[in-house]
Amino acid sequence: MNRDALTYSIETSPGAAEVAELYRAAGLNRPVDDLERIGRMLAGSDLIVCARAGDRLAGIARSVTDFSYACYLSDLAVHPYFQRAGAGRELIQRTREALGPEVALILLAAPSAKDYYGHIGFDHAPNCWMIARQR
Amino acid sequence: MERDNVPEITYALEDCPTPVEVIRVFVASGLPHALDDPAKMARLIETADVIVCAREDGRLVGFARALTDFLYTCYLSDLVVDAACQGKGVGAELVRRVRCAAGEGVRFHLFAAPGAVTFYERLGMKRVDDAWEWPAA
Repeated sequence: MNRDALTYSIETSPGAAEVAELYRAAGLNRPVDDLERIGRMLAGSDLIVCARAGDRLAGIARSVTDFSYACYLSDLAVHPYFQRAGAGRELIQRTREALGPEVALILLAAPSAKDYYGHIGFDHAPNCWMIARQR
Repeated sequence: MERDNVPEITYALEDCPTPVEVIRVFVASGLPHALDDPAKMARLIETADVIVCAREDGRLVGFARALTDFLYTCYLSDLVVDAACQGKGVGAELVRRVRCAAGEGVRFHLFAAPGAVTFYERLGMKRVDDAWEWPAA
């Protein structure tokens, strides 16, 4: 499969099963064994950008946003086969285009992605506080 | 201590506090802010997933606004309390109610304003080292 031939678009309802499979392949710690929960998570999202190779889901950027002030990028996942070809950066670029310049884009990086976000142009935000998920 | 005639503060999930009263509480909170445009504030109120208001005699004295998928993640975008009502646990109660509305299981996070760090520490929150932001233009 051609790694460069991905198509990107905003989608309102990617399938829970294909998203769960992508999260599993990309190593995201999400409730991938519970498709009902994944479906609710997708339904509760405000902005989803998908990368596809043909019909196959190759990457996703899932955010909650008010489209006017703040956007929190909750999940960025790219299938390992398509990683290192700029898909993550393009998903973020498409997300920012959908938001417009007035909206701040915020995320918490997975430990393995520590250096990635600074590399593609994000600023480190030192004042973030969190209560971890309880389940 | 004089405790008579102190109005009780009440809390509720609200869909549409007015932009003008929300801007007033931002100003009264003493936080630096850029949200003084009623049209923009109206959009922020409309597009929020969770808004919790604290009121004293009907007057808005605290406001919390969050974006959430109600399952995995909850981002507290705004938390403001009228300076005259600070130190009474209003902020902590607003946070508690937002978390309750978003679902206890979600990952809850926020960016602390300067000076609010000890407040979030007291709530038992942990500092995150790996937060990144692409600021608004």
